[in-house]
Amino acid sequence: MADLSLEPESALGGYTQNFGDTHLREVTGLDIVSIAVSSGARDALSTLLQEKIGLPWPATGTIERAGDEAALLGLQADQCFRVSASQQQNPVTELACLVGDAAYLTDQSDSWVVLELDGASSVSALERICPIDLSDNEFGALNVARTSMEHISVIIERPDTHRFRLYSPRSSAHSFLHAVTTSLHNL
Amino acid sequence: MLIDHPLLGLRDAAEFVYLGDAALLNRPDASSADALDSFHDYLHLRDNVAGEHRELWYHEQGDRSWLVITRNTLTHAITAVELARDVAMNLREGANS
Repeated sequence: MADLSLEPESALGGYTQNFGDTHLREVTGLDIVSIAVSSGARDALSTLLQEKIGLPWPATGTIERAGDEAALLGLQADQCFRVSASQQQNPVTELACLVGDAAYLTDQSDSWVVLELDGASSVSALERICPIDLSDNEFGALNVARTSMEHISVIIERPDTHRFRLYSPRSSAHSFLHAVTTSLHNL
Repeated sequence: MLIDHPLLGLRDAAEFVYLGDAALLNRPDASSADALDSFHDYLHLRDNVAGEHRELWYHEQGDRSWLVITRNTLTHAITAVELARDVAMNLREGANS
């Protein structure tokens, strides 16, 4: 039998590009786990998350963050994403040991392409394609939202003022990259 | 058009999908004697309102919540936005009390 060694490829092959003062890159090496609250277990889950990973349940539209690569994204009333640096093991197994039956967990690590836009022109580029009001008082640092850009579903996260992370389905990764780069070229 | 989501604030109407009359939340009792007539009316009969209308919208490109929106069909003015979950739970509590 042939001795094969397979390496996983990211959706955009580690894309990285400067556009003037703004940098666009593909973020790889993230574990993304969907956490959905079991019926009636909201308070129990909130307590467990605080005890086990040191983060409270995020209010819808906000991010609870510990360090640069571990966060809970509050996407809807009873669901959030846990995003953390890849640990080379099944992230669901690890999290299931911590929260037990209080949540339904789904590994979505390979389902999303993640783009990071960093720089002074980030807002100018995004406001052409993003229907969310990105002004500092409406969508400042540590805010998150699901929306669509160019008819493609997107989760937009703002870790800090000049930096955005955009999660979009991996299956349309190149179309989404085209939408973002076109907007950057048009500045 | 902007919709003032109860949890998320003002969001573009393009993120939502329209379903129709919020009366769909009042599903008839399938075990009642007049269930056939009730379900006929539930499925097929709609009021064609000129004025305030309570209707279901789904935030498909957002937090996936169902909303009950009170909209004036003559002016498109939106006067109330509620989470359909809250409306349905209030209906259930009212029926049980």
